[in-house]
Amino acid sequence: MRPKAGSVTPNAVFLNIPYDEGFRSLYLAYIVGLVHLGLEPRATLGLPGGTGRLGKILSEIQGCRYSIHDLSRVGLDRTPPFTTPRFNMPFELGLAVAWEKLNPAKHTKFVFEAKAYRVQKSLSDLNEIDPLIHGGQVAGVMRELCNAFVRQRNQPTVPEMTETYKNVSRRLAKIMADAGAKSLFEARAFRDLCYESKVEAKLRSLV
Amino acid sequence: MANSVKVTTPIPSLEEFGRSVGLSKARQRSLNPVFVERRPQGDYAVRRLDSERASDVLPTQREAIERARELNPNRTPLIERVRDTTRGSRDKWRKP
Repeated sequence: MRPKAGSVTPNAVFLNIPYDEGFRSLYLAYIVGLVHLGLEPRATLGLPGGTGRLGKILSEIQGCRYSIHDLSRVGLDRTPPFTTPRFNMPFELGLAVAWEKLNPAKHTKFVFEAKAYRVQKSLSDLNEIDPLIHGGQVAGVMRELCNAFVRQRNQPTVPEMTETYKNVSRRLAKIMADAGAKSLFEARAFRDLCYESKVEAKLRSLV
Repeated sequence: MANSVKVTTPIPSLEEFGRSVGLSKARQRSLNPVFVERRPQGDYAVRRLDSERASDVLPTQREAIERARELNPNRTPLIERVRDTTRGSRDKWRKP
């Protein structure tokens, strides 16, 4: 059950990441890593397009205690009809920056990147921020998630997360078939992926 | 900007998590694995993940595996190893 409007879910993390097949392994790494840390990933998957979408994205950010903004895809997107940079991630980061500045006790954002010092060039307004560098690797994402979110008890290890990642990866075809999804970047597949990750994380603590 | 935060919120249970991500109870059940465990009495309990009570207790492992498959045809049940073999020890679940 989603919380009432205006309330912040204390363990929810808004994921601002690219939704494309080339990012699939890191997308899964974020979900598995966050779930292992006892957090709840949220995404804009399933939000309708058109008018109102922006408001819904903003309220999703406002409802999450944390947000993660992966700026590793700052290159040009050559998918026809136009070759353009992708502005969605920096734009949503801007929304989160504003929300955090206005409500520092309610929101904390993290910027993730694949390459060190690139954000300083691509988005120099954020020079006060040290992005977390995952190097475009699954283990890198998990390592940086563990650096960002620290639990005093039950802090998972990267090998535990990696094991869960492997097990969930084996079930991807089934998850997609059950959801009737063409891609993992669909709302139902996302929900199932989150839950599968939780089940696998739970199994790690059982065996 | 914080580069690290201390998370103090409790880790949600499986059911709380499922509810929070918007999964129906039926969908949660279909994604949860079913376990077959040997009881000290020598019979076999069929149990869902995170449940206190067994869904069923059957005299043989074979019957328990069949029952586990009935309970969740969507997912391969996990079976408690009752023998040490070269493929795994007793502390590892096996698939039938």
